[in-house]
Amino acid sequence: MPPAPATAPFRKPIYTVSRRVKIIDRLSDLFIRLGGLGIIVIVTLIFVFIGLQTLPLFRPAQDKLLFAAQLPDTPAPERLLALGINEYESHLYYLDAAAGAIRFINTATKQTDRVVPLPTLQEHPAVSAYRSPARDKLIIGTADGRIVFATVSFKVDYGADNSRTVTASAQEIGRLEVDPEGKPLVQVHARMNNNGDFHFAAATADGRLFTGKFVEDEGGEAAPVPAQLVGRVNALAIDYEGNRFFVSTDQARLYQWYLDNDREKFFKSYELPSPITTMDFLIGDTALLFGFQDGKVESWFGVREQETDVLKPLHRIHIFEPLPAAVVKVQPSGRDKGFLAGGADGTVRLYFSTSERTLLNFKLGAGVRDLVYAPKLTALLALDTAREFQLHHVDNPHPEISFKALFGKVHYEGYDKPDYIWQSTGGTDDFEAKFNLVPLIIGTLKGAFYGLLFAIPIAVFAALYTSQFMHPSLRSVLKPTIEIMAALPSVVIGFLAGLWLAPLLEEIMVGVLLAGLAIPLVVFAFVCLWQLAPPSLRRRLPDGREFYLLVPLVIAGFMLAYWLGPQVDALCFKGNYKQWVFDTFGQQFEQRNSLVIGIAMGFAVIPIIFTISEDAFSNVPTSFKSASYALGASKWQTAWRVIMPTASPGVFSAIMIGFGRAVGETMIVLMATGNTPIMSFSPFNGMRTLSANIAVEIPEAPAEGTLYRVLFVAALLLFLLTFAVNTVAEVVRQRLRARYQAV
Amino acid sequence: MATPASKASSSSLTASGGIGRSLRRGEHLLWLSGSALALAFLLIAGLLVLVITSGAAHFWPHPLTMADRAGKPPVIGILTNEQEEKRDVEGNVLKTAQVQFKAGNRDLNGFDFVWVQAAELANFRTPPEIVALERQEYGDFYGFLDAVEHRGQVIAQGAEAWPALQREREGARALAAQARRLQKDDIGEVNMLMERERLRLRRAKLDGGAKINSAEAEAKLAAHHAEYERLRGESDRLAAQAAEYVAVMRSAEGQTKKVRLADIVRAFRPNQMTTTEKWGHYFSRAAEFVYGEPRESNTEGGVWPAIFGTVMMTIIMSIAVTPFGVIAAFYLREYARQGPVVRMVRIAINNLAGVPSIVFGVFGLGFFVYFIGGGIDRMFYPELLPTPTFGTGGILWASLTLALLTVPVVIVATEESIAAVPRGTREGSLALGASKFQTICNVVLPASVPGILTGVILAMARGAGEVAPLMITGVVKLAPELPIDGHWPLLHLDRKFMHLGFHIYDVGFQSPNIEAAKPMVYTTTLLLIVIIILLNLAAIRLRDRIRKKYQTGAF
Repeated sequence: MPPAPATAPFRKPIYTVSRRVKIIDRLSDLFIRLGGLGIIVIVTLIFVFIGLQTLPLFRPAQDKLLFAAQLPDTPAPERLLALGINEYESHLYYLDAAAGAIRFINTATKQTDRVVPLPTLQEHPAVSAYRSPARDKLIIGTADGRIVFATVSFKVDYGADNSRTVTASAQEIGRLEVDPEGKPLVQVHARMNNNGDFHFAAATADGRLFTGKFVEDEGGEAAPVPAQLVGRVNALAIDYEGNRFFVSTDQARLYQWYLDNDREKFFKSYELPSPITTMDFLIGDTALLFGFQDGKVESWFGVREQETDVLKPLHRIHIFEPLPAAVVKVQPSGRDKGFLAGGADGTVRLYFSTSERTLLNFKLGAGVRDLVYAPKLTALLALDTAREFQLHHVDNPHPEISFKALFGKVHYEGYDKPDYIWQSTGGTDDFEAKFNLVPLIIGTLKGAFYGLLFAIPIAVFAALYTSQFMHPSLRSVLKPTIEIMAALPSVVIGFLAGLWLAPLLEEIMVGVLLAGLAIPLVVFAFVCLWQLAPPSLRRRLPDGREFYLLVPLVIAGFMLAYWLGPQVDALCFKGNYKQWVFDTFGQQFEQRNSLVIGIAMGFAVIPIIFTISEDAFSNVPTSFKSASYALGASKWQTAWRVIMPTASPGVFSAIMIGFGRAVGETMIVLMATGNTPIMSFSPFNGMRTLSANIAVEIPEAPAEGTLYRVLFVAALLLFLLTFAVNTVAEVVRQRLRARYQAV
Repeated sequence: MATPASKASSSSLTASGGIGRSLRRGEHLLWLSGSALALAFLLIAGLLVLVITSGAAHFWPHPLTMADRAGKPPVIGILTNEQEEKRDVEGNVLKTAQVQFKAGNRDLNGFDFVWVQAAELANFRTPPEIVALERQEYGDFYGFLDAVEHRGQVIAQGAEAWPALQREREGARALAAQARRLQKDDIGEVNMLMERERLRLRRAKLDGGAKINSAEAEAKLAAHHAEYERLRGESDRLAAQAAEYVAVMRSAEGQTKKVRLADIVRAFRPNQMTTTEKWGHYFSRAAEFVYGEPRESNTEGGVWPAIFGTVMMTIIMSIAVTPFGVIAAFYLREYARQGPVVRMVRIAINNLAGVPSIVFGVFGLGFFVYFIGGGIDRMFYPELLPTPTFGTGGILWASLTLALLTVPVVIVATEESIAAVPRGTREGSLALGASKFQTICNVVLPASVPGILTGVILAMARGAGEVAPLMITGVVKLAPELPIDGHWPLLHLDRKFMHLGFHIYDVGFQSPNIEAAKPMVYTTTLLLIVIIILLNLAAIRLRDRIRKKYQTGAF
């Protein structure tokens, strides 16, 4: 018996793999894996990076306590007036009412650097003072009804090694006798206009009010404002033009004047739930900041209720997070729409008006006495009633942004109602930046909407015809043509739309709109006639080659519409459809309007929708069609009732992808619209889209500034929107493919 | 699809006939859906015809028409447009009949184009002696040639003036060109050397050590400065010499205008040119368009720097995008385990192709320009700060941004072509003992090269046509220097560049004289479209060839 074939004896393989090949294989394996993963990581990085760039917008301000100390020679808190700090934060200063002098303290050594007595105050002691937040100017009310004006200045010298020496000085620049009765002026307020002229207001303890104007080197004058006030004056404010004047009393009354020429004519008084304890103007002198006895902090401004309003009635506009105790001080910033508020319990908060944000929040050891926001907004100085000074460093790069400021209705200064507005830059320093993305989002959707309105019918029906009815030999010519259409750069389409189509369309608008009707009519009429034609003629046009006849038919339809256009214009719109649009819709007709965008954007998305829908239609299994024909359905009935429903998810995903493209299209909208950010869906005006807005504004936006980051938010929105839309479309498509495979 | 069933159905239709029946069967709807395709076809055909006719007509020497105006001096110009009278129903004239002339002579009139009431015009004619001058500045001049002067002395008059103009113009132009060359090349060189010396000093200072002999450097600087002065003088002398030749021209209004011969790019009399001459003129201008430098804030002259910038950017982009795209595709197809994760990655990559290009631009600006470029500047170019070198838009950053934008195109095309390589081929290689990498290198990669090429060509076509992301990462309307020149290190990746697409946007929408710039924009558009269509056709051809190869490919 032959031995059973045992397991084959171990044999050396006939070939070996050299170490070198093995190593190369390993290395390349690693390399390609790393490379591939790397690409995928980079792709994710795009999203992460853009997201990271936007994050700082929503971060609160950071502060760092530099020192908290009792400073030498500090007088009793009520004798310490008009606290200030210079832009280098090298010196802080205040008016020492007891000494009638301005005292400078070096913040580094925390020692008194200089004491500058003001001559007038030596005989007429100070009782109140106001410091202008943007400039180091002081206005001081005395115990005998005078007002003294003083200026504080800092001279900077740079040493050889770039070291900085700051020399502080102060000077009295004028005085005025305001109250003929010589009573103490317990409240003073003043603003300066661009020429440096003061408009000031003052009140005595017995409720008499004065306003006036003072020009350095020229002097000034004051006049009483006749008033019957209820309660004692708590706070007052006058704007830089000396027109708008506000007074509040401890009986919860607020009085408003418009002083222009007639001092008694425009007057209004308000009863409030709680007395205003402190007030001031935000930069720009439009909005008033009120601090209330019950801790509320609000900003109010005049809103025109009737066209003829001179004295615009005050309305509460922004409400901020209230303080736990009575507000004792609001201190506006000299550069932006931010301000500080301090409470009787020592709470200090930094708010921003437009965004209604609370950016900082800390507490002093005792009640707040005075607050100062440094001129460059890099520091803040607080003094409490226990005479402790605190100096904080502030890092507050993007105060104007909040979720509401980006996406909600905001009542901007100077507007009569809350609105969605995008206006990132303005001409003046006190401009309130309006970073509302809603008009841009609306513009984006509007552009995409009109684009799809034009593209969907053309693309989907063209795809249906191409896949179902067209002869294959013709199809192989036409499909690459459409692919070429997809490759046309959008800058070309945008250029033609803006410089050629827009003016042309303005001329023949009525005709073009009619073409939408005329072309189908002409084709329809032809089909009817065609049925009547002798069969011998009809047979000369084989199935699937209707296209040859359709091209001239469409041209004929268009020519008909072109010819009818002026007639219809004359008949329905008196030969001037633009006037008609204006009369009917109250809307100016813009040359670069949404219809131009619709056609241009439609042109750009037709090939995408066409290609993907055509794919979906041709991939419907042939058995469906055969079954339908077998049951006696006609070609169209089969296409419409069988093919179309089956392929509809594919058409849907085609439209979604087309929408994604339309949303992100930049050059077409940039070139073919006026790029005005408006909130309107009207076809007769233009729009500004998110993408065009980025292209227009990012070259001017300083890196890491607020505008720059807001534009990153816009980019992120676009990214997320298109990514989401495309993902949905892709998933739908894959499902559809699986369904076809199952059949 | 022309299945037998469909034939049957249509023949039954023919047999029974009747409008009502055909409507019920939806014949008209079939035709209507076809008209959508016809419309799409007409749109694209119309666009191409418009661009080709408007773009190609730009160089043709159009006849100059002269017409008398009632009560005003006559007008000379090219007839460019006409407007018919338009009235509303009540007979109020909304628009009067007008004729548009391109009247040239911008320096005299302040405009190039003029609309004239048709009622004012009479006696249209084309006098053969009208001269058109294409000038270095202020656009065209149309009028009559009175004389040619040299240093204020008339050297030719009347009938002799024209040949004299042509003759002397050559010499004057040559002198002026020499002066310009000195100005640009030689003086530019000296300037660059001076700047380099200054930077060396600054850098040495920043490094803290006085390792550099400053006296020597100062002496070098002084020598360069002397050289600079000498060259300046030489160039000024040549320019002055060229400016001595002047043509005395007379406009339609009878105003006399002296034009320096050196400033005349072309002088021709369109009304008496033969067809051959016209074609000669046409091709000479077409050649200038392709090879020339732009003039008159890009509205005249050539687009060579823009062509160069576009091509160069596209090449850098392809160099960056190809390896990454191919490696990622090989990873996804050959190395990654197929499963839900890879499927998701694939969807993500597909979607990336749909992310708006401006988003990539924003990323490029934030990441490449400010983050990486700013970092490079701080590390390697501290002596130039705060003037940025890489920390501002440049051709490298623009190309990398576009590479990111087009990487999905390459990945998808490569994946497709890897998938098309038959399984048997791969298994055969493995069975013969080749390692995985050897198989990929020697079998799969060569087979998929055409596919990869298709992807790269498509990426190039997309990149060449993209404008939005470039606008914020380095394209400028006028770049004084090309990214490649004779100065070390020859290739200047930090430089800003010009681009055909941006050129269209800028000239068409940002230039002060849009009407005069339009023909130029059409021509640039034509050039861009031709480049892109050629690239796309190449890709389509290539793709079809691969498909055919593998459809029949029985390995």
